[in-house]
Amino acid sequence: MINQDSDLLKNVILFSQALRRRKVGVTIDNMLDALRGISLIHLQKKGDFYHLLSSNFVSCKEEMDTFDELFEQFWSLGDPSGPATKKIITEEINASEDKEEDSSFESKKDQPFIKAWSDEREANELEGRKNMPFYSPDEILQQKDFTHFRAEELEKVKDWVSILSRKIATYLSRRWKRGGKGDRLDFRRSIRQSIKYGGEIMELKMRDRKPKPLRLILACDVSGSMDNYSQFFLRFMHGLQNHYPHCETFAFSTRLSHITTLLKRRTFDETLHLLSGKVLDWSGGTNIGAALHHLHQRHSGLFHPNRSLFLIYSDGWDRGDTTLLDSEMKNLRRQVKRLIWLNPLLGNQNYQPLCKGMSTALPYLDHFLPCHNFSSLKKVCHVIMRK
Amino acid sequence: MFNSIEEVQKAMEEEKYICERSLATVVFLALKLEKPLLLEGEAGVGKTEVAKVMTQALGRRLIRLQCYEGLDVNSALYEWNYPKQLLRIKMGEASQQPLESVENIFSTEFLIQRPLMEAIQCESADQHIVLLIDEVDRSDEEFEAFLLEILSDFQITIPEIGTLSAKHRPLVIITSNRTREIHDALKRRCLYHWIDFPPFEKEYRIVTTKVPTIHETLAYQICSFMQTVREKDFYKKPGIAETLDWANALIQLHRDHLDRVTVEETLGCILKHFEDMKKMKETDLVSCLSAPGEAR
Repeated sequence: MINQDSDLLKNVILFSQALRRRKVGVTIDNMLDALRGISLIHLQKKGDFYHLLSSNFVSCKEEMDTFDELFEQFWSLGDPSGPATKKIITEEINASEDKEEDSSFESKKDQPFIKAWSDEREANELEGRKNMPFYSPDEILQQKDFTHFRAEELEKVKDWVSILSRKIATYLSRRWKRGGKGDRLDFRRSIRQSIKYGGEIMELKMRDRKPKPLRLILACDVSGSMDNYSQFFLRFMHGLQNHYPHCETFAFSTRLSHITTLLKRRTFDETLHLLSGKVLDWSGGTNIGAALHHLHQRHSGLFHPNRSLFLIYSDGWDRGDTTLLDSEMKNLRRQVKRLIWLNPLLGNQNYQPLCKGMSTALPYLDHFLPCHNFSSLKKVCHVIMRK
Repeated sequence: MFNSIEEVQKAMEEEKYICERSLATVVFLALKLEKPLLLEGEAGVGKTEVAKVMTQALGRRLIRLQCYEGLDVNSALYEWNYPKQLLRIKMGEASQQPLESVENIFSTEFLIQRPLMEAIQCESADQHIVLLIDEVDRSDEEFEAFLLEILSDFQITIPEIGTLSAKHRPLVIITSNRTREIHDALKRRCLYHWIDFPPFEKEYRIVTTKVPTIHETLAYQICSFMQTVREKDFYKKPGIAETLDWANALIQLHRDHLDRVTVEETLGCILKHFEDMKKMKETDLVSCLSAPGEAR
């Protein structure tokens, strides 16, 4: 039984704590179930023990790698109290002590822009206290290109973007259900109502179909050429993702990353840290065709010809194969209700969509809109809300 | 009931389901810990089949809930039997006791049980249930919330009546194709297992078990061809379901080996997209088929 082996019990608990620190969400229930399971299997078989822990602690494919890696380290040498485990335990304890410093993710050095954004924010907070903001009419700020902000303006605009994303999420989540005017009889309410007349149905209650929610699919280009703009759009995506349930988010450069889970239920700064570790090839080149191809292959179930809206934020500088991009755009056109492309360069009056990526995609779009400042982002929201 | 992982694995193989020890382990744990089992994987790798096979192996009854967008409480949990309620009211009127009968019309007698409630409400011990909630990723996010109460406590709360709890906990198997992420709250209540495409040896065993009349050479060729196809970048990679369909189709056509013409004629069994068909012709995968003499 379990209590005969309190060392094992202790180690399973330590192991689950170590997992939690690596962002695998293990609940107390999961742990108790795993401990109950120990008495059901033969502990000599490491494979069974592995499956017992993995089925209880892991809840999606992405967590599997983290789990495997830690499992190997933690339970290596077959002896749970062996030196390898001890080392991890000490590391874990140390890690929890200076948790704050630990948040310097290893891959951060490869992601200069993300680091810069975070540092920028910290610096701004300090600076903000020193310098009282100048008189700056909001209208002027709204028209200003995202790349031209002074530090103290940046914070303000970032907040605006967050608020805007919340507003549009609330608008989209609203459901209409007219009482008494629909085309279907609402038996449940009619009968309940009849009780007060002693069971005689005096008024018929009607109901209407609930409008099906719009599904938003947002993809943000995080390649090098977009560095100055993508942080604003990621913030917008973050706000939407957290306040609108029917939303899926992706980031891409040469490859596509599904970032919905990274954006959900976290502050934006936490999200940035996580993104730096998870999104492949940040600030790299762009291959929109390949990214869309991946999207189709892996997530085709998201698209619905009558209800989904696909929004892509990119400057269209594409190093990939335009025939692939062309066929993917054609596919996308068939699968979504509305296709919107936001291009920060369109804010420049002299810009013409001549680069090969952009000109390939153009014929398939419903809307091709600028998105280089706050006021253009607001206009984009109006387009999204037009149902 | 099973007492070891080996027994589960053996029972599944007796029902012609070839599985790794890892899957047998989670099924065993799901039974022992009385927790729902969430199976994820590509389409056609045999997720739904696990529920069917376990129904047979355990001698239970299968209740299946196919999820779709717009699935609501009334079609998944329960619905009031309105005609019956109306009749009761009329009967009450005729017998001069209207009020009392009206009060009773919200009782279990007037409930129509939908799949989830049926699974919870089974009375007798000899009538255990396997509950299959298929393709949960197709349902709306709101629907997952209904599932939470059922999956963690095996109970249903009906406002007019109260809480109904399960007398015998069913084996619950939930499948998802992962077109969207399932909510964490739901996942945390389940045991999780990812079913991958099978390696060659396993697929060969599956084909020869499921299609016993198949010629050895043909089975070998089909499986090695499918392995090659899955390595390529197709929109929809064919699963084991497609392999078995193909094998059966070839038997109906009285073929004992694969050649270019046969593959081209029957390509529709494994590839279901026009683009994939086109790509197959362009890449000329057929040329890598081993000749029947070389096989084995």
